Amino acid sequence: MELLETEGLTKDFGGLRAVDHVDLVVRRGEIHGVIGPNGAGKTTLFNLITGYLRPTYGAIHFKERRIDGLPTHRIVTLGIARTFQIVRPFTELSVLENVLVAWGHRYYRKTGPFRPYANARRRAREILESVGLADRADIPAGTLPIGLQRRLEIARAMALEPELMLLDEPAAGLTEEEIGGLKELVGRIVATGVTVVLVEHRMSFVMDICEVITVLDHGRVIAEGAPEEVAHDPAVIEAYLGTGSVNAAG
Amino acid sequence: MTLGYLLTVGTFTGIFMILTLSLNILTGYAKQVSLGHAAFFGIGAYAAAILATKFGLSFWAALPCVVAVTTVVGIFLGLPSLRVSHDFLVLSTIGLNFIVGSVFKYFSFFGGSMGIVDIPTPTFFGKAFGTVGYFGLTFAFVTLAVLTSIYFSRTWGRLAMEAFGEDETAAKAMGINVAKFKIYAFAISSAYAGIAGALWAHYVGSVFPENFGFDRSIDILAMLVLGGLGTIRGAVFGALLLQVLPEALRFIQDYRMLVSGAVLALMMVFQPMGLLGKGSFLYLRSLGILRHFRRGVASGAP
Repeated sequence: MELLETEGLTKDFGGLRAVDHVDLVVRRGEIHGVIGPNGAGKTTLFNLITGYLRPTYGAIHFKERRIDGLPTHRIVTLGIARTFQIVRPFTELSVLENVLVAWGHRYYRKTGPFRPYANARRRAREILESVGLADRADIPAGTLPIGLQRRLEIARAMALEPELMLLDEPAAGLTEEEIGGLKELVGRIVATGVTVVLVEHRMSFVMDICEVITVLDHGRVIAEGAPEEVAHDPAVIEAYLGTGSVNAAG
Repeated sequence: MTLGYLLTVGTFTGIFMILTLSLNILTGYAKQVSLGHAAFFGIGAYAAAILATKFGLSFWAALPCVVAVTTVVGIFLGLPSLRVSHDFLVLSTIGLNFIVGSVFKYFSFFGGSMGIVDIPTPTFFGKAFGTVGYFGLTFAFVTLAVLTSIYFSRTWGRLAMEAFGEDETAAKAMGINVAKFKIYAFAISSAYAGIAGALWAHYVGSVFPENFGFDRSIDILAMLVLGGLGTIRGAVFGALLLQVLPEALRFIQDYRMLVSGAVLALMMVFQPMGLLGKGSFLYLRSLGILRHFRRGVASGAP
């Protein structure tokens, strides 16, 4: 069995089927892109995998263990970290403390909460150095500009030391230059053995760094494969540009 | 103004310092705004009063039981926080005052509206505490509360509480079991309140339902907010200021509520973080003066 597998994953919100029988397979060590038009169900898929939502039908297996129905904090400690599309730093805590909160995931059980965290500061600072935030370690996270808040999101995910990292639109709102830095950072994370799944709208970014791409439309998988295959798939072009555009383009 | 009077004011101030430190865990760190903290205080006081008068336990023997009872009831009363948050939690904590107050008032076991009287003064090696002794006893507990608070502020538990206090969704993604930590916050906070209650009961010698009403809850929260929510220095300073100031300003007794109301309103506008809170004017200034002073000493050295 692969690192992450979903079987017939389905989520209904009232009469709306946001995710419709999705079989997603993520292999160890790959960078897997999930793309699709607005409302295709990408973020819902992430929320299902990380336990924020319970599937209506279907199962999710991570490391051969069934994880659907587990609470989010358990899934995180099993080795899945995520970032949020709209960044959610703890604005009143310092940048360093934000990373410490994530590093603490291994101490939130048994007597861990009643032990001091001072010894972890050095490790948290190293993580901030690796994402280029070390010089802002002691300012409140809410005062960081958006580009750096996205870096902090990734720094927190790194501090969780996951096997699988889910990045929800990490490039949204970034400048071209910042995207260059992000590519390099994701490359370094993958080099440490972490598997990455990312939801993204910026096509150039996805095409550049992903090895496999899954395309969702109206909650269904409409295409899957290497970037160049997917880019030329008529169903994908139709989903993005509407019916008739295939002929017009052809 | 006699020494006895000063020591009495001091003892009550100490009890309120323990209460603000207690509320600081719950509201300062975990951001669970409680307008029912006097209920926890009252449970501690009543537990101490009953154990002393009905079971004949000494202050010292009863103290662990008082803390245990208050913690358990505190956890139970904290359960609504798992279902409601923000404004709705504030409303349900207001309700706690009235529920707990009614239980004290309408069950004869708790003495009804006659309260419980003749609670003995604690002894230490057979000698009863006098005014001076009790002041010392109270401040020994204040010191203990401050030291344990400082310790807790350096633990993973405080980080987790501050994290979910600000954003529960993000905190879950950091591996934090939010429900468990909310219960921890209520439990720890109640334990401190229990000690404050026991000190009160044995000092005053009697407990009545009205001692632990809604207005007292507001007092405790006002002290913490005025001093600086989320800081130990703020909790201690706020209790000191709001206990001592009204005593010093007895001559404007009739306008007391007016003045404290105005002070709180002005604080909300100009220093919402509290007088000594994070980034407050007074705190930054005193840090600046301290730094200036240190530099002066350093450059003055040959």
